[in-house]
Amino acid sequence: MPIFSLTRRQGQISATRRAFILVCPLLLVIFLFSLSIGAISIPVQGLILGDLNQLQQSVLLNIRLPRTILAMLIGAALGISGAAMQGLFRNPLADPGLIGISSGAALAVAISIVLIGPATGFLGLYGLGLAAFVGGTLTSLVILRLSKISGLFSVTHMLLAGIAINALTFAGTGVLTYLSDDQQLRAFTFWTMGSLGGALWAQVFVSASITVPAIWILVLKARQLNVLLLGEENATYLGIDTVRLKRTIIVTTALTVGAAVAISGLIGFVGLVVPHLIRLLFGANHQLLIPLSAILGAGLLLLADTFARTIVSPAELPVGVLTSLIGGPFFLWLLVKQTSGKL
Amino acid sequence: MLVANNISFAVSGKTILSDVSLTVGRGEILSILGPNGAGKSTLLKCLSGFYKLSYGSIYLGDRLYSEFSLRELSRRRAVLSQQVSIDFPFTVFEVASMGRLAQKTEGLSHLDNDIILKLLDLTSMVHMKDRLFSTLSGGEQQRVHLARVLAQIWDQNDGLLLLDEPTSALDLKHQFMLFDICRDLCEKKGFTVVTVLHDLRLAKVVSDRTIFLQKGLIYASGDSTATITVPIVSSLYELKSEQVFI
Repeated sequence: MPIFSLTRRQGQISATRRAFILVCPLLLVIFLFSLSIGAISIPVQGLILGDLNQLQQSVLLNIRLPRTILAMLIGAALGISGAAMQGLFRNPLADPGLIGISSGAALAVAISIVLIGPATGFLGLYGLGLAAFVGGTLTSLVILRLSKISGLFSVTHMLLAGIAINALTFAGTGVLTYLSDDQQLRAFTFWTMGSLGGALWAQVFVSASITVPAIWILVLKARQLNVLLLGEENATYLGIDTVRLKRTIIVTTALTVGAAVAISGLIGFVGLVVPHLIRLLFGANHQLLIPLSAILGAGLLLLADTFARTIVSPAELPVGVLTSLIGGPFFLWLLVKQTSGKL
Repeated sequence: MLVANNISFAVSGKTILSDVSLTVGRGEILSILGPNGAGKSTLLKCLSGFYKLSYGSIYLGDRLYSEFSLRELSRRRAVLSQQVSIDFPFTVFEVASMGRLAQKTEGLSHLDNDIILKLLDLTSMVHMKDRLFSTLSGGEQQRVHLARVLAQIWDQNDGLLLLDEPTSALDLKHQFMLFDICRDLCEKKGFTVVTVLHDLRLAKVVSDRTIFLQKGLIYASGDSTATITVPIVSSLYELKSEQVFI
């Protein structure tokens, strides 16, 4: 643990307020920054005052705004699902990407792309979302069962299970890559790298209709998630139906991850990095952790996506590559920290 | 009052407890003693309602355990289990408050706040309330859990408190502190306390009645002073009588 939080101030309300005061304006700044820069730059003061010309307005409404909101929704989805998974597995290294939930969802999406065809419109998007959800849920259940067999939710077991599942899904997607035609291959490859390119309002609505309720459900379950960290036995003594709680968390997380993966492909490490940063700064209370993970996740992915679409403009970097580039070293640092002492 | 009638517990065909009956009255402290693997912790988990019995029945007051919902039960009985480690940065206060928050839909009231602080004071942990739980020693962590568990049933007048080797990490002073608290709860609030112990001398001093378990069966039971004796202990633990100091 960092030295500065060795004696964290108690004052529940003041801590909450401090955290939100710190994080919310940050998101707002990133939001305005992201709306403003791009191939056609839109001045921030024009944004605030509503003083924009025809072209700027049309770029803002049809291109910039949907993409910005989508990035925030996906970032929030990844942030909360990471926080919830880490609480559920009682393990600070659990992340939908690392333990194979994302890749399970990805395989299901790949299957539906190759066998059914690329998604268009609301129905197609929900269809892909549903496929990703089924894939994600199946892999979560497999991992949960595996960790139950091994007796406890140990880091080693979970990560090893994650490796195995990632390898399996990789093999599956390999077969699909081999079977696919050129166009499918291209769509599929770019999709696996993770990108928010070509965001439309349809995707925003689909993503919002899943992510927003998920945040709400997880915030409601936050207190029970805290107690679950005492272990299932002790949570039961405190009057919590752990079977139901676990099921709710798994279904909600798989749905959120599924929706995110279906729309944006594999964007790694947001779910791991964001809850960690919040814990380092504000502690582990899920009542704070979950909403803040949503906000910080939104901000972080939005920032990454803004860089992804501007640094090599007019071309575009896949945002998943960018987050992995930052997240990889961070994860290594966490592993080193964990072996050299408790997190 | 807690009554268990002929309870048996088996897991995957292996019988761990068979035909155990016991009664603990209001205001009584019962200690469960016995060699390693005798089934003490299993008995406690049966008495807490966590394990489903293979046979027999348990009454809390005048109601069967199976008639309680998880939530109702959590307001009547609390369990202090062995060593619960938490890998996440929670403060001492946050861990203790879990005892009160789990059953609530709204946040901590002023009353809850006062109860938690009072209990942290009672377990002499209040000066560390803002420390991170994971930085505490084993004994200190155990005292925070004790405060959490007491907070859970503090409003009750005939609560049931189950303790699984509560003294394993505690120093001598705090062992007596723990049982002073228990005795107080028994006398003032009519609590029933059941505790698994290893220290026979401590059990003799602090508990009213004792059950000795051997391989899942009751070996001896009765008043602590009459039951924890050299002949019983030496034959149960396979010791020479001069090796037993109680």
